Amino acid sequence: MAAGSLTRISSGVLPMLALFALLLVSLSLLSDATHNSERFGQMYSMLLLINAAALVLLGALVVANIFGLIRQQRMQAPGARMTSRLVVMFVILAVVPVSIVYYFSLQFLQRGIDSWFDVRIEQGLDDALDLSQAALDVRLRDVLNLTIQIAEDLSDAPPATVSLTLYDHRVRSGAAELTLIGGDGRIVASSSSDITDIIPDQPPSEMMVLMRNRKHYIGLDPIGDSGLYARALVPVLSSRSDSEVYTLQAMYEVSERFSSLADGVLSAYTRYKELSFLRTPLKFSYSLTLSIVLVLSLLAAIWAAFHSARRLVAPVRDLAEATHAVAEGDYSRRLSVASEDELGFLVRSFNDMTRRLARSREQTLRGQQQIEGQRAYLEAVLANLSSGVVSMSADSVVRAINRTASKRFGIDASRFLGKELAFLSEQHAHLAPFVDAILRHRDQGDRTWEQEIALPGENGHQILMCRGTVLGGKGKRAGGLVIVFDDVTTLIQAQRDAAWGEVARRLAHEIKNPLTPIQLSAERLRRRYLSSMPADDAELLDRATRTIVNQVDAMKKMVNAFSEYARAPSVHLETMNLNQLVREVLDLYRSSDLNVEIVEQLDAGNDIIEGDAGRLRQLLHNLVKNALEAVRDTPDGRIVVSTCAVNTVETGQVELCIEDNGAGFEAAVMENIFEPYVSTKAKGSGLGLAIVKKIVEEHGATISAEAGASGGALVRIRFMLSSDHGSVTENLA
Amino acid sequence: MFAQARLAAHPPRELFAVLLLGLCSCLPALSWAGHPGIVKLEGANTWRSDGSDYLHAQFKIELSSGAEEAVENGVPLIFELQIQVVETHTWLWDSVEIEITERRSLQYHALSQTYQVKDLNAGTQGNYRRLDDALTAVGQLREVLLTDESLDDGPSYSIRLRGSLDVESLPTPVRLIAYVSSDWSMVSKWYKWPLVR
Repeated sequence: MAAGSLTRISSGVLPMLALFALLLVSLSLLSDATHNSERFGQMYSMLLLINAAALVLLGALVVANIFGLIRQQRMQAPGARMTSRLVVMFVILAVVPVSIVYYFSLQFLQRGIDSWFDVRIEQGLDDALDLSQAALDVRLRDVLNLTIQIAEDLSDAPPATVSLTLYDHRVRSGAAELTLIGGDGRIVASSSSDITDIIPDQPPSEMMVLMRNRKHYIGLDPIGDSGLYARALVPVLSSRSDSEVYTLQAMYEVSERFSSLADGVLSAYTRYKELSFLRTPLKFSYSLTLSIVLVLSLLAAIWAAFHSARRLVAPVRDLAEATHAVAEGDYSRRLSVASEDELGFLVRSFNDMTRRLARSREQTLRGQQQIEGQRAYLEAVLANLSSGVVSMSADSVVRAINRTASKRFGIDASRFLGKELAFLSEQHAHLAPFVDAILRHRDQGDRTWEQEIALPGENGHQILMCRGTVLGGKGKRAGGLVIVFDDVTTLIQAQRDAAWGEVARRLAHEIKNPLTPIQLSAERLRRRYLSSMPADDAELLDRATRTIVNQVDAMKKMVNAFSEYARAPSVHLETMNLNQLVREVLDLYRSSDLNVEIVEQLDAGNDIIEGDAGRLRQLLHNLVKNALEAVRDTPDGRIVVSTCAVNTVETGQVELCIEDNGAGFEAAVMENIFEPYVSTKAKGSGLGLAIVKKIVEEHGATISAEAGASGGALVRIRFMLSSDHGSVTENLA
Repeated sequence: MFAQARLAAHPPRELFAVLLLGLCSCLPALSWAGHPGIVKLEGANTWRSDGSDYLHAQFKIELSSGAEEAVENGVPLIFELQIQVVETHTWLWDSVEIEITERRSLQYHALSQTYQVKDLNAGTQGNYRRLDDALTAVGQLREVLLTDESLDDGPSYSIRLRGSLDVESLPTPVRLIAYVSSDWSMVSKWYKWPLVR
């Protein structure tokens, strides 16, 4: 976070310029302060602190920038490597000349400061000081002698006149001040030329020690702004008997001319000595200032290098990022044109490119959407088509197969997509005629063909009307084949039924009409001539007319059966319980003395169907009668009527089975057992099972005949369960 | 003879020391290898007269070899003698009631071969042949008026005393070295004792 804020600070131009200006001012003041100027000398520490703080701040900025750059390089951020190269180049460009200047500046500094000092100048100043001291020594000796004389005069002076004597001597000797000091340091008497100075100057304690030892003292005393004074201390040896030792202190002003000359020499000497002493610290402080300037300049240069490199690299980095985004598929990226130079031209070109790419992609997408829409439309059409559609490529690979085709075939055809057509017949043998027909037409080179194909099924043959067309044009679909087929089984069956119905209607019309006159004529002949004829003839007539009447009767029944078969279906489907109906019908047969065991095996649930109870009752009667007739000659005749639920792919079904242990169906008639006039019985119209099948079809059910487990006949009828059998069950309950 | 002056505001020396420590890594070569300087209190006493408290104190000052060399070469040294009268609290920090800073300068006069000691507060001056006498004069506090009637009698007070070389008054080139070199660190601890009234 701190590094981020530092980077933000470092990215602005104004803060940068402001900091540079502050640094320049601060460095300039620091340089001035190093010269020990009065104005900035006191600020030196503060300036040093400010510059040190600036140093730390700039250092932190540079370190933050370096770390940021390293991090960007590790993350392989766009432009990081170029920024690094530019920064290194700028830093080298800055460091090399600055370092050279620094080195030579340091050399000049050292030598320049050393050149200030010369042994001869130092010697000359020492000599000048010695000369001044020597000249002063002569003057000091004179004033000491003068003071000794005054002290001798004072030694004989009576105590009462000491003050006056002092005054006389001061005036005569030209002394500035004469003071007589007692042995205990008290001032006995004093005379001064300065009337404002009422307190005489006290000698230092060390001098009083000299006096107690009765020694003379002469020395120079610089007194404040008053200039130089010669101080002489001489013991006053009294001739009187008391042992107290007095001291005479005399202060003589050094002449103004002499004093000013001595001051000049002293000032130059002191300054030179001070500078000489400060030589090493001065070198150090100048070097330090120069080093601070160097480091600050270098850090500022590095910072500026980062700033400049970033500004230079920014458009290139933006371009790199935007190019990466375009490569990732983002065509909405636009860059702002910041300059009018070559980079600006590049950015404008990039923007044009992305705009065109975006437009092109949009058009492609729109086209794809249209194709997808058409494809979806085609699929919807195919899916809802009542005809089955199969398309395959030129190399017989299945490309499309619609839902109706799957339904017609009774398979999940989608898993054959992308596989060869032959694989379809390998997996489902009943489709072999379909596949063989297609392949045969393809091999023959038929471009358009039409064929009726019969597929074997559980409920008889399934008749498909197939039409094949070879796809033309160019492209990958060329040479492919589209097969459209319809299930015409029901249609053919309906046509057959209609034909039979027409035959039956005509037969009934043509045959039934003459039957009644024939029967009536035979009965009249019988009534008229039977009683009047001889016995032999009468017997013949009786047999003949009975035969006529019976046969005509049989013929009537046959014609009625035809009429029944040809009758237009008028079923009224309603929800009903199959098991209940079966029980009712079977109960009728149980009561009769037939010597046949009738077994019920009814499934308790799933017996609600949509059916016409009257027609189904007829169906059951036909089947049970057939079974009874089949087991009539069988010793242990047994009929099993059962219902059971059958789960198929589409919906639930209930299966009604009637099985007997009679002779069973003959294999020759098994194929057409439900066709009219196909029967294994000696008697019968041959319409029983045909009517059964008709009723089954009226109910949308299926029927099949096969050999039972005991070798007898087994008829299976499958009804669709009612969709609301649950609610009906409740109603029935 | 004496005057009261508030302590001059100077930047904290410790801060400079820390900052310059990094910059002046070459300083060992510039440091003087000699004896260190000493500033310590030799004796002090207070007395009360006419409702006012007075102080007399004597610091023992020994110049370090660097400072002594500087004086011999005419560089003036300024010493500060800080006197504080603080009100002492049991649970709180002491509060400074009165603060006096005596500033004394020491300079060698080559022509007269004497050491000049100036009282910068009073403007008085003394000349000494020997450096020891001059340093004694520098470290001497005579009859310094501590308190007058304006100070309440109720609270308990203490005297705090400290002597030091004023590094800030040194010539700029020397100042750099003085910040970091122990050779120039001449400062006594704070001496504290209760003011008996």
